[in-house]
Amino acid sequence: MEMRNKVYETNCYPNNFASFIAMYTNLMNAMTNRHTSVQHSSTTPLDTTKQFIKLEQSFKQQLSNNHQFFEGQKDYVLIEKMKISADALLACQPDKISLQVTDEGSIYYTILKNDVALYFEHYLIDEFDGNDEAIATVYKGEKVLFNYGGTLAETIAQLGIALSKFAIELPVFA
Amino acid sequence: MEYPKEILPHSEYKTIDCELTGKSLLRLTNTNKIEEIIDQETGKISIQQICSPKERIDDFSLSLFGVYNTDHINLEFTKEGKQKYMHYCAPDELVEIPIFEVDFYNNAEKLCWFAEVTRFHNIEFQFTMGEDPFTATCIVVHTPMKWNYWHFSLRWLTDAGPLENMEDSQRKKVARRIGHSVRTLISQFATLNLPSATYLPQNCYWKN
Repeated sequence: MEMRNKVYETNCYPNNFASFIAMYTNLMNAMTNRHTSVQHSSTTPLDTTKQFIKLEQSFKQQLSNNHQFFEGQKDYVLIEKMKISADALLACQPDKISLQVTDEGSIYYTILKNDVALYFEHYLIDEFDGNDEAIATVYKGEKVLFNYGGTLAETIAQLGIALSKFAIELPVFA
Repeated sequence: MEYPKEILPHSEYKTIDCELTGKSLLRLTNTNKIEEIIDQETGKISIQQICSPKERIDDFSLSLFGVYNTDHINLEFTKEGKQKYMHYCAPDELVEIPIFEVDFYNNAEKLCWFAEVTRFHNIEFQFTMGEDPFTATCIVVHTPMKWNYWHFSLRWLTDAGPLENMEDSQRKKVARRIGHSVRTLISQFATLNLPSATYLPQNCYWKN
């Protein structure tokens, strides 16, 4: 965990990122607390740490094979950015999570939790409005439950709010 | 090796105008290695097998499964063949039959995935652009090509107007959202399992 917390101490993120992380962590904690009395996730904190390490290794490997997708970008900056989105997404304690880099210079996360699939795309290049952009889509079966595009901070915050609204349908997604 | 004439445009063909519920679309992968096609962690189709970097994801190519089927997935066009045949055309265009080893050859290193037409057609995605909401609707359109009459495209309608009319930064932003939507649709619904072959009634593609 110490290694992951260091991510937030670097200065390559928007100034409001610390407040976003605090807001997001509070939100996720609130959601977890709301449901822990009735639902237990099968994913433990140790599992989450292993998932984080696996994601980081996978990203580094894909990055080295697909440098052309991230032209002009420094590896360490890309890796630090990846850590931010990976860490935020792992807060939902997914059953399964993977990432793939795309030719659009994004990281495409696939997250499965019970019967919910969350697709989260974090764009690392050509950011609009000076911030990293992200788009999230949540499916339950055939139905799109949530769809949002904005800055990384906005998208994760909106995702958390949306998931809390779906808490009755998705009781353990937190 | 002869080119399969059944997939070429034909003088008696028209644009397919039938309801395609229950039909499936097929898309080629660029490898036949299952472990490269499927994301081992989640079991979903790998993003690299959804769309090649050279292709526009907002005009996404597929084929209607039926007459065009897994017998045809190994057709690979030569550079010369691509120049001649990789173009949209009228459904009834008279097309010269491609010649083996001049226009096309056999490439066994491909597989394909499938998804039902209804997973894409008329599916709406709602987004925000700044404070403004907008809707992008996916539609499945018959877009015959010289090499394959059964070629279809995923196209997108947006309430912010056609993509090509948007100013550059807005177009990029919308295209990015559309690209994401295509990826999620395919991640969620595509499968390597062969659908049951359902042929279109002849009146759907045959003139009178």
